[in-house]
Amino acid sequence: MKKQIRLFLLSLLMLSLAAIPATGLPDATEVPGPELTARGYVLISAATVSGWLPLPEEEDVIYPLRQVIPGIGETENVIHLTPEGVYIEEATCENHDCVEQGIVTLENRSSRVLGNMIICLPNQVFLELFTPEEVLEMIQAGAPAP
Amino acid sequence: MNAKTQKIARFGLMTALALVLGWMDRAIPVTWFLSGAVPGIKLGLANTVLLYAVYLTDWKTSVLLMLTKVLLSGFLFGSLTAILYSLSGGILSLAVMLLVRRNPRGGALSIGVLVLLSDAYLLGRTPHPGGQMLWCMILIALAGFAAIAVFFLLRRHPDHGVLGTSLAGAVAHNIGQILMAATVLHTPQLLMTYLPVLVGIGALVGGLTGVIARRVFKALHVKTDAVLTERS
Repeated sequence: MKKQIRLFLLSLLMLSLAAIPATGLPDATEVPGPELTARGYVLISAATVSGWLPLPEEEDVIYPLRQVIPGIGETENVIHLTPEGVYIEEATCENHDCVEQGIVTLENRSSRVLGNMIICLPNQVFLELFTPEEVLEMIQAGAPAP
Repeated sequence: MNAKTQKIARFGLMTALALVLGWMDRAIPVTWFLSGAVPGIKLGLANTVLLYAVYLTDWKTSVLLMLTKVLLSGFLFGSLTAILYSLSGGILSLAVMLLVRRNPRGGALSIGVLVLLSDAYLLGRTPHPGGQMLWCMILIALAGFAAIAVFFLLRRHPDHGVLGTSLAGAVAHNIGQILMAATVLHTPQLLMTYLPVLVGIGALVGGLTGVIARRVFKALHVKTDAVLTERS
């Protein structure tokens, strides 16, 4: 019994140690870089293409992402950009999980289970929504600029 | 009936059952409470058959059953990528279940700690969770405490060992799948964001299938504690 209590206490200790980094404050240094005027940027990482899409200023933009993936065939995911965020409107995948994941906006990122991501596993499409500040940080870390 | 015929018949039965349960898995929307927010999650009822194989047959039969199930259900209902995902999940899950079956208590404790750590990590990433994320984190915490409760339960009732094995198997399955997804999509950031969620959800559904498997084993008078399973 004593051994188990020790094990339990040990796991509690590990848990509290893991929570320590969570309380650290992010540093707020200014990051110089190119002008990024859009409210947010969507990073597309797909099987055959990758790149950035800025959120539009006023009108919605529809971007049909067509791919020919070896072993899978022709696929399409219709990416819908609004001034607030991004969602997948339609897809040729079998489960439509990506459509059901709904819209990602800069506001709802912390309340979504998938955070800033939309994932379509069958069509190998991966979208992430970033603020211009986050994009700048990524550029500094070596990512290609939008 | 000689032993070989019996073995073949039992293997066929298990394969058929695993396929049917795998098909049923697709019809049960486990994530209704997260309204589609967590893609690719299912209950994993077919895993109860694999648990049965792990406890009642040798490891070779279990591996063969897993491979047959993955390939057949992949070709019947899924695609090439689906096979890749379930194969990586299946291999890791089976390996872990075979390792853990003699020490399900250790399995339950490790899973409990791992799940609670994942939840703490998620809380660190999103300090003010709301909506689905909050709901998901509460569920994960409950799953973590449930796994630790299983650890204590197994001391008194070693014959419930299948619970620990099921928990470890389900979590390992999800880890295998997400590793494959991160490799196929070239997106290691999946591991940072989605892996902790999948570990938690894995413990949740692993607990559920463990309870189901326990009921089935009881009805079939299968003994699952380590001492009694010294190879039938």
